[in-house]
Amino acid sequence: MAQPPSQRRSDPVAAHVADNVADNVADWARRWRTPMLRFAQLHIQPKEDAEDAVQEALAAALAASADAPPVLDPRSYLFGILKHKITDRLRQRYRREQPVSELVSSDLDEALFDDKGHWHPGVEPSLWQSPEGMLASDQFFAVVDACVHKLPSKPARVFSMKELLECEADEICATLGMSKTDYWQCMSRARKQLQVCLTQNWFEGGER
Amino acid sequence: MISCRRFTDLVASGELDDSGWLTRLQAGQHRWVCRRCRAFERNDRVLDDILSAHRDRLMRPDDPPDQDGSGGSGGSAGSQG
Repeated sequence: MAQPPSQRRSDPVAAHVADNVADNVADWARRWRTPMLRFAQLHIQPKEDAEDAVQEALAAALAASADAPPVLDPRSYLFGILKHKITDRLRQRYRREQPVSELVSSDLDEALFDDKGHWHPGVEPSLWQSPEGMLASDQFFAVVDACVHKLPSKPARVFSMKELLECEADEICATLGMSKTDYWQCMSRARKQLQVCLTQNWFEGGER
Repeated sequence: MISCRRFTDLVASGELDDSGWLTRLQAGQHRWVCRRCRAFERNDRVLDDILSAHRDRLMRPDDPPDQDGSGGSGGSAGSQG
């Protein structure tokens, strides 16, 4: 907790510590604000709301740092706070939304499977070849990013909470006010669509 | 036996991890006879690695600012001060 200026003047050690904390957080803000905003925007729109969440996270870091031991891993620390801020906002916004089953259409499954649930000819999956260096390729992750952005909104929200915010299924259901069945439906839709998208645009496509 | 559609739902959603022995047995039988679904499941595991790397890249920091305060290349000048 920061001390009043008058008290700081009479306690040079406390003033020095407080100044160091402020410098640290200012440095973090310069270095981490952009990736934090990029991450927040995956979950929160419009951009102004995402900026607010980042600002709140940095302010919380500043408030907490004064009394806490030095932070050894600012990335985990700052993104940990940011994830809580994002989850809080998602909880407020989506809790009373309409049921998922109305929003997750079966168009993808109809394109992949016949009436008996067997693969349609021509769309069945083949094993991805994973050449060395794929996970270090900017081009590959541009495709991944594009595929993630093509997901329908509700499955995308569930998917990003699970895969990017690393929330547990029960927490996601509680935050978004959905059943476990709806959660599974969203995750299935998102991951199937991603597999199809990556297959078409990278593994079998010509973007390399 | 369960269908390919059901098998892929179980795998992609994570529901299989929470399922009882009967569903796991049915999924195992399906996996045994269906090479397409085996490929789907393998790809789904690779997807985990891809998403983990994607998450790490999203959380990369900007370049550190210059020590003299003249600004880095991260474009965060607006947040200074």
